[in-house]
Order: sequence, then C-alpha cells, then structure tokens
Amino acid sequence: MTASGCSCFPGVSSVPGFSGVSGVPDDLAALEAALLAAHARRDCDALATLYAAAADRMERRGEIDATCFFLTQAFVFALEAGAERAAELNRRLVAYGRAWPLPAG
Amino acid sequence: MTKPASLETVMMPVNRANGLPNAHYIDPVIFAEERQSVLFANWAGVGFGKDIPEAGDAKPVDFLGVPLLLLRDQEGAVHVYQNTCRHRGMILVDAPRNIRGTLRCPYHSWCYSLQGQLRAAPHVGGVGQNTHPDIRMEDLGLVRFRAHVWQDVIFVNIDGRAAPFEEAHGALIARWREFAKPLFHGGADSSFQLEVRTNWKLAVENYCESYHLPWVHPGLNSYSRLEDHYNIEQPGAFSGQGTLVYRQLQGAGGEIFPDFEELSAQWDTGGEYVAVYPNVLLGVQRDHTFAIVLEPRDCETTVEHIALYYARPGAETPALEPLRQQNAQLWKTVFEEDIFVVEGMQKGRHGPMFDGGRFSPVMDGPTHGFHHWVATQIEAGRRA
Repeated sequence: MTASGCSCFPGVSSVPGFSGVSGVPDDLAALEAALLAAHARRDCDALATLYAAAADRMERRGEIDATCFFLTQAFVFALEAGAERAAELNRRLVAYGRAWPLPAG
Repeated sequence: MTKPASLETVMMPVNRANGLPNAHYIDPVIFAEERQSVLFANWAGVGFGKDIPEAGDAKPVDFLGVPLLLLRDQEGAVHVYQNTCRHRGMILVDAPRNIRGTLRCPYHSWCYSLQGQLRAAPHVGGVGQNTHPDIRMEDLGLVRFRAHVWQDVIFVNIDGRAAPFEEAHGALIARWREFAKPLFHGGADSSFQLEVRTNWKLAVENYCESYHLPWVHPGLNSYSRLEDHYNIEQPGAFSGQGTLVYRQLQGAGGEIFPDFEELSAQWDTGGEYVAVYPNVLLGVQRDHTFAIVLEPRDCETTVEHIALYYARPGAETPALEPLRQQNAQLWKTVFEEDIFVVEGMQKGRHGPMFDGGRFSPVMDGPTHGFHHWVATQIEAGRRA
C-alpha cells in the first residue's frame, strides 16, 4: 500500500477517550477529538466509523438533518476506503431521500 | 508576433529539402503551435504502464501544461483522465498513490470511481442532502482522454481527433508483431531520466538516424559499423534505423538474458530503433526492449524518460539482476553520449543565418521524414 492515507494507521481504539469496546468514544467531546485525530491521520476507515457513530447518535435523538450530515461524511470516507459499509450508508441516505442509490460496479 | 515561415522547402524531397526553420526550435510561439498541431493532435507518449502496476495506482502527469491522471482500474485497464474535479476545478491527485476505493477530491470531497464516474457529490443539495435536480451525476464524470498502451507506453490523443491508434500505427505494429508479447520492466535500476537543454524534436532527429554513430558513439565501431545499419522510413508514422549485428550482452560468467519467445531468425542479430511520431522512441532486440518518452518541458528543455524491458520477470531471474544493471548503465552511457549533440544543435539554432540545414540524401532520410511529418501537421493545423 502506498501513501493513500487511508490505512496503515492504529485503530481508533488507540485514541484516548475511546470506550475500547466498539472503538467509538463514549462522549461527544471524545468523539470530536477522535474525528480530528483521524482527519489529521487521513485515516478514512476510522473517519467512516466515527462519522457513522455520530450519525447513529443523532438518529437516536431524532435529529434527521444532523443524522444525514454525519451519514454523508461517513459515506464519503467509506467510499474512499473502498469499504463495504459504503453501500449500507448509501441505503440509509436513500431512505431519507438524501442520496441517489449507488450505481452497480 | 511571429510570422509563420513557409514550410514548403521542408516538404521537398530529401535531396532538395531544408530542415525546419530555427523558429521551430527556439520560438515559444511556434512551440505553442506545435503543442496543439503536433503533440495534441496525434498519439503522444505521456508515461509507462510500469509506473501504475497495481489496480488503483494513480500517477499525476503534467503534459505540456495539461494536468493528466494515469490510473489503472480494478480490471487492469489504464485510463487517462484530466486531473481536474468537475466541481471547482481542483487538482484531484498531486502525487503518485494507490486508490483503494474511490478518488475523492480533497476540496469538497466529490468522489469518482476508478472508471471515472461521479459516485458522490456530498451536500450538493444542502447540508446532508446529496442530490439536486440540476446536478446529474451521469453528466459529471471525469474528463477522459483517448488512451492506448503499446510496448508499455501510455499514448494519449489530447484533441480526440486522431485516427485510432491501431490505424495510425498499424504499420509499425505489423512490423514488430513478433514483439507483441508480455514485457517485464527490469525494476528500479531499469528506469532513468535525462534532462536535456534541447527542443524535443532534436532528440527525435538524432535518435532516428545512424549517420552519427561512428562519430558520437565510437565505442560501437568495433562491432557495429555504419554499413551494418539501414534506414527505416514509413512516411507519416515513424522512421528510424536498424542494425544487422546486434550482439547480446554477456555477464562475466557468460550469462545472457532469455530471448522473447518465437522470434524469427531476423532477430538473431537484428535490432531496430524507431521514432514513433511525435515523441516516443522505441528499441527492440531479441532479449530486451526499451522505450523513451520525450517530455517537452518547454521550447528548449526536454526530459527523456527511459525504461528497459525483458522477456521474463525479474523475480524469476534474480541471478540476472547484475546484468540488468549493467545493461541499463550501457544504454545510459549511449544516451548520455548524445546529449552534447542535441544540446549543441539547439544552441546552433540561435544562429540567425541557419537555414534549417541540408540533409544527406542517403543518410538523413529518417530525419527528413520526421521534419516532413511535423511540417505536414503544422500546415494542417494552419488550414483548420
């Protein structure tokens, strides 16, 4: 792997403030810090995970616009990483009427 | 303002022709004209397949000011895109890297598949809204240039109007059909670059004639005499020289490179060296080939990108690594011996009374063929 900036980095659980169970911080401040750290590392796998966690949190609160903002961020970084979860994130955005279904291929 | 000179005398038969006027080597206005009419209107070399060997490998290339992105997709196909986001015109990739998933613009994160389709335009319809009725994803893929890979050289037709590559270069493809085989780059030591203070055309002109060999490459005289060479001339497509006495390099222990399979007897001691118009120089021999892509940096600066290839992968023949290094050094020495002449001819073209020069009617046919072709392209551009 060359300098794609999307791998070869420690998992997000190594960042202080993480629960250590799901790899996602428990509180919002820690989540934000983890996101900034992942951006600094250009770790798009971690960014997809962390933004998806933020989206889940907003979705539980019923904040749809914020949910779709974070889903979009997660989707983009999942796409960049070539992660399978991009399809699922896209489906959630489509369900909210916020994205086109991904074309095949 | 430069007044274009008539190119009538360039297009006369070789025994009466003059070479291209000085302005074609030293005038930035003519350089800009050649950029369009000669280099963009034909199949120009811009890189090598070996530079993007793996799926997802991407390499940005500046070709005469045009930002290109060479990219290999998951199926192994090579694409050449304009390295420019369809949103705000941001450069997409600024250094060679591997793309695992999609190509994401670093500015607003519009994402493109390796096949160039726009896959995401985040927040394009507002925050968290990734659609807009006026943004049609299918219309906003990456701009794709016509590209063709042959002898591992990536050729591009920027203006999109050249005949298909197989048609434009069908004669050479047929001539060298025995070399239509997998080529294996020799590894890091088998690529090198030479930056030369010359117009790119002088590198072509020097390459495609054998007239200079006894004077500039005296080391070849012992086994490769001038009379052992012949001219190769295909008007409108390529020209060069061939040798009848190619001799394989041997290591200290008598080791040699494996031959390409199923070559005819012609290649036992034959080698051919051809300039594929406009800017690619190729050489084929029984046991290795090489390619030179000439990158015209500006009117008076050219970078020669050189790559050597073999019949078997380096991983299968590790014992031949020293011989590959020796071979690369041998060719580098030959190409370096040419630098003083291409730079000297460039300086000579600042002499205002130089008239383009007269050709040897016998020895300079390949060079004149190239001049004639360039003049033809320029005249066609002026008529368009």
